[in-house]
Amino acid sequence: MRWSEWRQHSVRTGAIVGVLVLLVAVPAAVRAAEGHTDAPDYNADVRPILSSTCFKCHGPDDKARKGKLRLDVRDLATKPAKSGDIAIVPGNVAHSELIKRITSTDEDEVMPPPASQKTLSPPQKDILKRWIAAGAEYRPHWAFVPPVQAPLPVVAHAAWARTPIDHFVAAHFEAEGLEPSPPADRYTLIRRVSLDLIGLPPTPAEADDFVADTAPDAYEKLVDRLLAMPQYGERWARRWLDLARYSDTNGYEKDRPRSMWPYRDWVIGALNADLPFDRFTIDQIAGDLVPDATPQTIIATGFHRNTMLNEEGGIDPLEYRFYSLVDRVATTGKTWLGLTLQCTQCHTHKYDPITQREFYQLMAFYDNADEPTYLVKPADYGQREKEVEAKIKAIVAELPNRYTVSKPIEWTSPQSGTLITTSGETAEHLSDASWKLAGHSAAKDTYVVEFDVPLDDSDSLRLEAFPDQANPKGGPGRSTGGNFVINELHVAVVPAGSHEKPQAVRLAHAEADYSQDGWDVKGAIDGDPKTGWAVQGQSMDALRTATFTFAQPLHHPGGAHFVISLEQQFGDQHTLGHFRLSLGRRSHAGSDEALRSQQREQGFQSWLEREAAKSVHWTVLQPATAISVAPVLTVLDDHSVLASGDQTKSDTYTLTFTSLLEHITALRLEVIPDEHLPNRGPGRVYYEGAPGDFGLSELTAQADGTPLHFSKALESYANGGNHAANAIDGKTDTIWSIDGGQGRYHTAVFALDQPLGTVRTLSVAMLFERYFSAGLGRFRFSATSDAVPIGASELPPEIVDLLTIPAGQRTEEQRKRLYQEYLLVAPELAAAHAEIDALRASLRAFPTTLVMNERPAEHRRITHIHNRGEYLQPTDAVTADVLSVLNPLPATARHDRLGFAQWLVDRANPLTARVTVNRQWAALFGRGLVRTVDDFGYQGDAPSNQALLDWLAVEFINRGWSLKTLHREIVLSATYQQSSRASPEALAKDPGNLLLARGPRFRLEAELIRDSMLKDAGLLSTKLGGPSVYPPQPANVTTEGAYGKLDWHVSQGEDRYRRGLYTFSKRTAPYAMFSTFDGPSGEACIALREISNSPLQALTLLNDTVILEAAQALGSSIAAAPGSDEERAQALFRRCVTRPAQAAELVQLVHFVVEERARFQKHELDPAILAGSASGDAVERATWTALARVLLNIDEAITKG
Amino acid sequence: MRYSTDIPHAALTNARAAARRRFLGQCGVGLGTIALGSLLGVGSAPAGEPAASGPLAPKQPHFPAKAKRVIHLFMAGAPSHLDLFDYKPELTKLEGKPLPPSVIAGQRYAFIRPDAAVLGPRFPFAKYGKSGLELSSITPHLATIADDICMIKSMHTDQFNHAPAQIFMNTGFSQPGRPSLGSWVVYGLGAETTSLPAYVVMSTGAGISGGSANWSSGFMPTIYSGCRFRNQGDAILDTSSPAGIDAKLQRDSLDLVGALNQRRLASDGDPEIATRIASYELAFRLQTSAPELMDLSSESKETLDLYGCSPDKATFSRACLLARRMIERGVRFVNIYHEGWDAHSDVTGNHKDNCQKTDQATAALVTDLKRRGLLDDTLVIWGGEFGRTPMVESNAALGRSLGRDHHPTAFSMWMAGGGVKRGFSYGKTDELGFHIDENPVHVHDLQATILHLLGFDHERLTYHQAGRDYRLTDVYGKVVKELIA
Repeated sequence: MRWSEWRQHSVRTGAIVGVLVLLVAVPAAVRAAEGHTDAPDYNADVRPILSSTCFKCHGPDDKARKGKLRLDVRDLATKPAKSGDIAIVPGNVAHSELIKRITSTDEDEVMPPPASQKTLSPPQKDILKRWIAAGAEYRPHWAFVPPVQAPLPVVAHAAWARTPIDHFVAAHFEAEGLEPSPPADRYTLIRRVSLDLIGLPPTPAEADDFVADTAPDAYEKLVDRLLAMPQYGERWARRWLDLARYSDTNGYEKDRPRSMWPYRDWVIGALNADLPFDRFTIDQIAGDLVPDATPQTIIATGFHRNTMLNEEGGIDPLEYRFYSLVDRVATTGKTWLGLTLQCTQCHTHKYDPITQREFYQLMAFYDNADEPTYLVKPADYGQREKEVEAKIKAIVAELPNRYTVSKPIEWTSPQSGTLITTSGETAEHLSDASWKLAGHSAAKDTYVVEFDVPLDDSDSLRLEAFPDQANPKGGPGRSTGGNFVINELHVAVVPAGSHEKPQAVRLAHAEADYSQDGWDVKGAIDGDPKTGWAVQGQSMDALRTATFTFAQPLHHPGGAHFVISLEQQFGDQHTLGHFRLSLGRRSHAGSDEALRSQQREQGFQSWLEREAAKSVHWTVLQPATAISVAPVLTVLDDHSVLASGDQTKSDTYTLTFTSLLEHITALRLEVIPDEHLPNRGPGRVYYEGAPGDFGLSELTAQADGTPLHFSKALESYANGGNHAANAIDGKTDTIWSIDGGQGRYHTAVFALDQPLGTVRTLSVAMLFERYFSAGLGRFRFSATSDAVPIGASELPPEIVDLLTIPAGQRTEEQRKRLYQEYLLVAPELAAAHAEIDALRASLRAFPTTLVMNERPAEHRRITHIHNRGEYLQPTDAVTADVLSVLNPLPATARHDRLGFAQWLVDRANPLTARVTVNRQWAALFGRGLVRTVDDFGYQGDAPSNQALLDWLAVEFINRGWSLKTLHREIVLSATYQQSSRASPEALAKDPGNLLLARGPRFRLEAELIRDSMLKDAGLLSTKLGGPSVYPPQPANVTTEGAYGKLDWHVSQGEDRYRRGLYTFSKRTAPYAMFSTFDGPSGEACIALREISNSPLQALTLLNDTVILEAAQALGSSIAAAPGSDEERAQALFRRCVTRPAQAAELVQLVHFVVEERARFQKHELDPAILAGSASGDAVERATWTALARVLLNIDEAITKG
Repeated sequence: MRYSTDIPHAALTNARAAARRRFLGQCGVGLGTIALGSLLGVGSAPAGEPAASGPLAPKQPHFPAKAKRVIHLFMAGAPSHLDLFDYKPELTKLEGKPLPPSVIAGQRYAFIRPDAAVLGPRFPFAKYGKSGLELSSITPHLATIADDICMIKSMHTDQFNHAPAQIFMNTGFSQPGRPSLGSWVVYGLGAETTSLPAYVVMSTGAGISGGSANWSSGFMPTIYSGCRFRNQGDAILDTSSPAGIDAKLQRDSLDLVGALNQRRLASDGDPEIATRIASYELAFRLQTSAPELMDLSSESKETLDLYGCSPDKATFSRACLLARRMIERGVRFVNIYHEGWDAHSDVTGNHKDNCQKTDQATAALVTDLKRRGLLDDTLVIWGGEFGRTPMVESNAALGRSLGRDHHPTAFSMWMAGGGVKRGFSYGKTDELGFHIDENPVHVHDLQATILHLLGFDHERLTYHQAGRDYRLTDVYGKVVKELIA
């Protein structure tokens, strides 16, 4: 919009509200300039006094109220008290008790009382007197009255003004007798606006182009170009993430990582797309409830899932859920309303008209959400799913042909050969081709056996260790126990008759019919001389056989010469006494197909027999009721039960069943994976333990009220010793757990000690009791009246059903179905199963993020007021409602999060637009028009220029809540484009730059310092979004002293140089550089960061790895550039601070270069160390690196000026 | 490579000297208000001089202080009062039996059920010193300073899990986000030195549950945060210049940074630039003063032996000795975390081990401060975040036996020096060490008392933020006058 349009627009919207502007607070000087009378203004002069001095005891909080007197409401302050006294008699100072009290000298009478340690100054008393004399007019607090646009003030600097903003600003500084500063020079301007809009400095070339562009709209074009860049979203997202308390870990003691970056990326995308701020708000608060909900709007609800999660063993999860809700209300207050709602958690606000009840009414909006983990499926998920399913189908179709055929091995034992030992001991070669050593064994020894075999090919080696009475205990070995150890076995081969050196043969597998505990035969081929094969056992006089398979079958037409070595490093005469070596090859007899078909059929038959023995007929039980105290149990169509909602450390699920078969002998509990559960379940463990696991402490049952007894429990899978039997042992501290089996289906069978008769009601109770929540997520019960099975099955229930049909009675269809199932579990098809699993896993390899999901209406949570804000002291129940001091919820509005979000961004809401534009102003000028960006209440600062704030707020709404339009409007103003240089006079008159007669100047945020330097150095990656990264920092930052240790594996490639907002954010040990420069920890909502200035910051910039790498990259680049020292120093200077160095500065830079270069040349310092690893002249690179390091450290490099 | 000869060397030298003169002379804008009065005489200023003004300038407390500095030995994980300080023979009699419901009603526990059996004290107790302070046998060194100790046996807290309880002990609030005790002290008193951080944090045990929230400045400026001293590499991150940069290049670089900043200050007039210049000079000092602090070669063998300290090992003993050196050099507040007391199983072995690691150095620190005349105005605080249950923690499934669970309703802490009574014991628990019978001291009361010793009315040491004045003690706390000498 051009200037003339702006003007028309403003006049149009401003005309109707010209009168109202008089109501709002403006500094006395401005009011005077605008010709106001001398009566004190309630908002500007009176309320601040009453609020800070009187309201604490005579304000909104009825619990703290003294003498039943309330001064914040005119009707009550002017009402006679019981005593007849009237605090405020409008127009009558003498009869006003308030004035009597504040002027009293009696210690018992005077107000404020001495104990409060508050006093009123004479001018303050005077204001109150004059105010009462003039009629004691109360006016609504400025921030609670919706903003209106005032007409543009007529100003002397009309020619200076470029936009309406400038008129409002000029009106203020003119009133104080200040002149605007001259425009910033073009280099400063492009640097300023680039840092502001995209968070990165311009390159020297970009700056030159801008400086050279003399077109009148050059700056506007620049602004529009920057607004359109994807880096805009990154820069502004970081500020929003401060409010959202974004982090990549859960916080508190364990501080484990969480996946939340899809939310972060949503923010970046929304800002780049200029999603209108009202919609931006609605999606983040209620994106699951909007009628047009999409995965993107659901991801947006992560805003309030950024609260911390305490995973410390022993916490009460509902207590920390309550703290999250408290945080959500407080953060909403800070982010949208500019209200200190957190004050009302424990009591009615001491200053603002907000009650404690209202705090919990707001909490009720948020209370009714569940907090699931959302799977961020890609847009083409449906298509990909089809593709994967098609691929799986193809593999399944091929399964019969891929069945591994195991052909018998033919063994050949060479009759001739030699055996040499390292010890010199000799061996006897017996007629059965075995070797026998019966002399005195060395403590350690290696046998090398060489022989020829006449085979054309071979694929394995067999070692038979014979028991022999010549050895102790009649064993195969010669230790005192008859044992032996083969630490390593090597095989080498050459063609028969060749004189070449034998080539080593790689051994892929080793198997033995027996291995001693801890001495598995695999240890003989693992290259580790400490491990090996040994056979100590109950009986030593048994033949022990080991088979070693070659990685590749060998082809050696005409025979081969083998060299086999058997190493015994263990000691104590653990040598072999009697053994035979044979070479094997798979039989070539018979066709593969015939053999495969035969083996497959055999395998199928034996599987059928095995599984049928475990199978009985189960009848699925439909729960008549399914209840628990905290979790919501929902019975699904297949009669399984899905648990959702809250959990505690001790949850009991109670189910009753009424349609029952007779003579029940056992119950089956199926535990079923589900996408809605952590790690796909079947359990609900989400903190402290292993996600997706459960801990079933006890399972008890009653038949028509009579307790039942279980004789045994079997499970298809258990984690370690956590068997299903633990659930019927009467001990609550032992459990059935399936950790390691998450995402898979398991069952347990609970056998009754005697069959039941006819039962009307069976009730089953499951207790889940750990020191953390460990309930089941999805499960189903069945019963059988068959004989109790010998095992629990992981096969699908319909397969188990088929297996119970006697083999002769199965239809062909049923047989086929079983055959298909067999192919899906047969070990001979393991490779194909792995392919199918990998395909399924690839489909599920999408990121997750935390979101909100509204609970069903029938499971609404009841929200209570909590006495003193304490979790353990709930009092009255409340229903969701908004703050009475602000716009009411429309009659038609929904009383849920969506209704609440819509209320926040309703045009009638007096705060949201003001608070939002004020925060943008603060981002650009370093200070808000309301300095207290998070407090627009009575105790907050009055706006320094309310007419401007209100104009901007209304304009923001009128122009579709567009943040880009707002940012554009501000940076195009003359106000923004002023030079930031402050003369001593200007500094003295307006040290805080409240009047805006100069441009902004302040240090960059933590991330932007790093980003700028990486950009200067040409190292910065432009990759947008994705999982967080780990740029260099000392490894011990996240390990030393941190309870939730995180190994900081530095990212490689471009991820080493991503923008700061992608750096992994660990709450209890944040990235060191960012903390040093006031970066947030993610533990609380931050509306405006501190800007501190400390020696630790200097140390970081001087000595940190990241900065050094930037300096080295700059140094190498400048060293390789042509030109004189002046030219190169200039080029370097410009890359760091954009503007050209002045002649005097250049002299200093070159002097430094000449001096340091000389030191490097003389090798007073080793240039190679400082220069880093790039190629090129080390002295030059080191010299320019040193200068680059200086320039990255100067104030200008880290300041927006 | 062709070197520039465009500018004669003499001209360069002159220009540099002129710039330096300007740098030294033009202090009219801003420099008068910055945090380093001695900046203009770089190199000649006495090390360790306090800041003249700014957020760390020394300030007077509300009333004359007894303590000027604090060393807080934070025994994270929570030691058992029942096995160290608060002897309860009744527990031995009841061992193996559950406590009556009247005692355990309403208690929430982290791991155990409240009806778990009683576990008697694990060690014999005896009385020490003239004061007759009762201690268990595993703190023989503490016994030697019994008459310097001010024991509180009636501490209680609101929190029964580590992270919230540690954060509560440090910040008066159970969740992260508020300033820690050390931050309040530095905010209130300023720094005594500019050569070292005013508030230092060391950690020698396992990881700390509450993490950096324990020493965070919360909503106050980060300049009041505890500075983490690390056990590996630089004690203060980035104190060492990068490889390839020697002292002269560092000095030359700082001079050029300073000169360029000074030009900018002259032209732009932003006082922040002056502060920046000062911060670089302070950083340069830190590069010397931090290694000097960490170098224990000037300590006598007798001192090293007193602490049981070997200089190259990052032990609790070394941390205690370093704490004394910090106090001598003007550090205001030192936190030493020793996490490891969380004896859910085998409380006997756990506490023996932890005492082995901490007892000697703890006593040595008090002794050493005393003989150097520093104990009178240095407050030493020893304690954890809560106590441990009189009941046993046993859980076969978790592999735990003969441990104790978290116990917030009663525990012991002690202080020494800094204006507290010596050889004094305060408060009493019931015969089970379960509840407090006499003179309860809540965490907020302890905080109020510590601030009082430092010269502050805890209700008046406030920081205005988000619409109200915040204080360490929230809206609670009363000074325990009986503890003060």
